[in-house]
Amino acid sequence: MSLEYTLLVSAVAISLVALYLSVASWLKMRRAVSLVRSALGNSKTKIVKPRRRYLVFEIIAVSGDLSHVRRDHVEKALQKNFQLLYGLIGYGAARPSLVYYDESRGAGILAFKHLWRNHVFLLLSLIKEINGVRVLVVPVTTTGTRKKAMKALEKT
Amino acid sequence: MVADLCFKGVVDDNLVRYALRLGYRAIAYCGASSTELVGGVKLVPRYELKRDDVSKSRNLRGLRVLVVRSKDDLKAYPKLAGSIDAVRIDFAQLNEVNKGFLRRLIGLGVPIEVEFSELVSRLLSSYSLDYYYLILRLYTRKKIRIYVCSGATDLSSMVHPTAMFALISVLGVPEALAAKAIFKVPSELISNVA
Repeated sequence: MSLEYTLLVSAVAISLVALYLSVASWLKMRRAVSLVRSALGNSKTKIVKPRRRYLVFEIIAVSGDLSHVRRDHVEKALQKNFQLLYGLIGYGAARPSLVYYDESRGAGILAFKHLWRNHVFLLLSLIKEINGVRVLVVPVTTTGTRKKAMKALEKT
Repeated sequence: MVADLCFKGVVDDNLVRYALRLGYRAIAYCGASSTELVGGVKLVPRYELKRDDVSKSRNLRGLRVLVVRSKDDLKAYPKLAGSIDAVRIDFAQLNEVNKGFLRRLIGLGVPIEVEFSELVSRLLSSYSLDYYYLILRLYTRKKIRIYVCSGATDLSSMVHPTAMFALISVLGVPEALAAKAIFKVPSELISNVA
């Protein structure tokens, strides 16, 4: 009886030690792998291919008549403010372009590279005046295709 | 709830309509005397307090913001607990930020106000952004809490919440934390004070 009991206790003790050793070795291995990875450079970061995004926006006139704001005025305001904030290199990398602008409603679609999404949102908030009209530019939604952007524009 | 906790102008029906269109559901401004709901937007009183006025602020109903102009304003910071809801640092007058100041700021535990209009004007006029970077770095390391407000003075200077989100994302704050600073922290503060 006592022999059986001793065997049982020793078996449990051995299994616990084995469990502890396996967990400890797994943790050590994980640390070693992360060290090697960091030494070789972060392999997790992927080179992301810039994709085109379409931002539907709306222009609200704070004072003045929105009919004075034409497509070329909006384009100029976008270009001027983008270059002021991010320079020519940023402008070239983001490639913002006014795809569509509805002059009667004051709404349009701006295309840009997806890596510059936050920069474009910030840019829109800094446009305060277009052709003498004080405006607020409000982003409505961002889509992956021009067709979806047109649909969203119709809904606004 | 999207809230602008630092509006500096006069709030009228027109502004409330535009604020609603921009997505705001609550505005805190200094002109309000009590919390009220106007056209779907909750208007909350905002009190900007000096260090000497903090002792009288316990009875105030609204957002109580301590304006820090010198490092001495945060002395004996445990006494401030319960008297203020947020801290606003006047970096233009604060000429020295040392370890002691940061330790007090972290120990205080209340959110720090970052004003969009001030940050953008500094960005565009090539003033130093060192202190702002310091605050954002502490926030990214989860040492402090911040929230971003527009600091608008009139209708044309109001900004869409995504623009504020974009600004601090561009300055290096991860998107999850940026969203927290724009949406979660202000709504928590508004629900606490209102």
